[in-house]
Amino acid sequence: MAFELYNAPQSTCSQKVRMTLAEKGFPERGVDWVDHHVDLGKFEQLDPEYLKLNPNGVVPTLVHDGAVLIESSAIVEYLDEVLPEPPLAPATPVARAHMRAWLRYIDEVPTPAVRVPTFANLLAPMRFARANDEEFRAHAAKLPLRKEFYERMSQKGFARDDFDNAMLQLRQTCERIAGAIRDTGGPWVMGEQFTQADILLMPSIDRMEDLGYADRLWGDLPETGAWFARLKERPSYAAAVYKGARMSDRYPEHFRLAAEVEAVRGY
Amino acid sequence: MTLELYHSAHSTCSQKVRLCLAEKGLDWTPHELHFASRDHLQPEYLRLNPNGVVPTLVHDGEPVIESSVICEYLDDIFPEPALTPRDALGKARMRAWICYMNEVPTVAVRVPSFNRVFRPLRYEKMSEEQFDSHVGAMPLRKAFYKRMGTKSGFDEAEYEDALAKIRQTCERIERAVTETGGPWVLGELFSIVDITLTPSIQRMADMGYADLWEDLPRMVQWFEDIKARPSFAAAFYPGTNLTEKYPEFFQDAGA
Repeated sequence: MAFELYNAPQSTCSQKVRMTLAEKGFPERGVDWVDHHVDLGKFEQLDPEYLKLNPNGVVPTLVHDGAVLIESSAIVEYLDEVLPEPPLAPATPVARAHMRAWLRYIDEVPTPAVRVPTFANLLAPMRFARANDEEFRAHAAKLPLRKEFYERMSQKGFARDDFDNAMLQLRQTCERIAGAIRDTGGPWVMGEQFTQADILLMPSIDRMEDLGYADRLWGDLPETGAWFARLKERPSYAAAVYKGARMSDRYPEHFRLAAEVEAVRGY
Repeated sequence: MTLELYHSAHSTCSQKVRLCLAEKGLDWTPHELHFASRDHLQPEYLRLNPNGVVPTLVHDGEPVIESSVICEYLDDIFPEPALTPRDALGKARMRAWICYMNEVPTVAVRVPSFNRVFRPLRYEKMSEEQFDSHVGAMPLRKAFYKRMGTKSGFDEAEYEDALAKIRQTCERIERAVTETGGPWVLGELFSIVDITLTPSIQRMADMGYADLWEDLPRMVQWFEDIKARPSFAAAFYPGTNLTEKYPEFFQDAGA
């Protein structure tokens, strides 16, 4: 098989690449592409063997005919170049630049922001609640990237300021989706054409819906709600976010909806 | 054909685009923005660039934002000399570098830059209310400013983390130039990767941190080769380095 993907079911950046593979006619993991499951709960992304493939110690990594590719947005653009049909980027240079500006925004704003409620509500208490300060710092020190994210987070989660800021960033993303649909006429953020920008936005919005924040973040933005509903109707969505890939399915015993977390934590 | 650049002399992301324009031999009309007078947060500018940051390129009336995107755009429409590998795999490797640079060194250099210069210059005298309202108006990077604050600056842990990130970047340059055979990060081709790395390294060199890479001979040579290109002099014209623009903050440099 030409494509091998090192990925994790619940990883948002893995979902971006899986959705792209599905859009390009490679929907089925284990059939259309080799599915290497990297167990993030066991920190397999930090194994020396894996770090040889991906020195950043994160998922996903794509291996295409032996060539190793990292960084989900770079992988998505690569797949669109080597598998040109159907195109997921506009044809003109200026429209491509506008799409890439979305890619940069998604990498800087919503992609890091969703990690905050994800860790605060679920992963920090699940993975680190029993670690002492020293163990926790030793774990953070092993990470090639994003040490400061862990250092700002305690074993229990984030301070309120970090949490509120992440929610503000995600709200801005939802407003920009609505604004883009209004400006371009939709149905997708770049207009008529479904593009890489829609794919790269999907996992952040899907994560926030799964965690129970849909109403708060886009309840008053009908364009964003309709955009996400359309996106979920695409067969590539079901291929990328298969049963067991959402946090609520993957960790049902630890999972708590936003309202329940707030009742205890106060925010 | 007109190319207009909304930029700032000392902004590292503006420097990336000026390097690219110089490599392409393109003439452009400058619009210098002054952060102190909040030019970047005015409604007319936010219509061009909703992120409220520099640079913005306007090509025949069409705005293009995000420095690395602007460089790829310029390479798309002015293909000579090429600053991007031709094959899909080479392009993907270039873009993985761009993602790394946007996440790691570009962000890290802001920490010493703001601790040394911009916090005392612009924020120290603000009241908490003025600071909150200023930060509240920024579309991006609010949390960065809040952690800095008006008085304290970034704490020791964040400062040390930023220097460790620059060191990691330098080690990756060293390894890449070694593995590809150099002289550039992707090998024979001088690319957008070299362009996007340069302003972060130059900023650190200017502020007196060159000892972060003095034990990395290929990295040292790479930076010397960069500085020898005519595009470097064009992008880093007099007044673009912080030590030149704000010498009062560097009187104790080396201490």
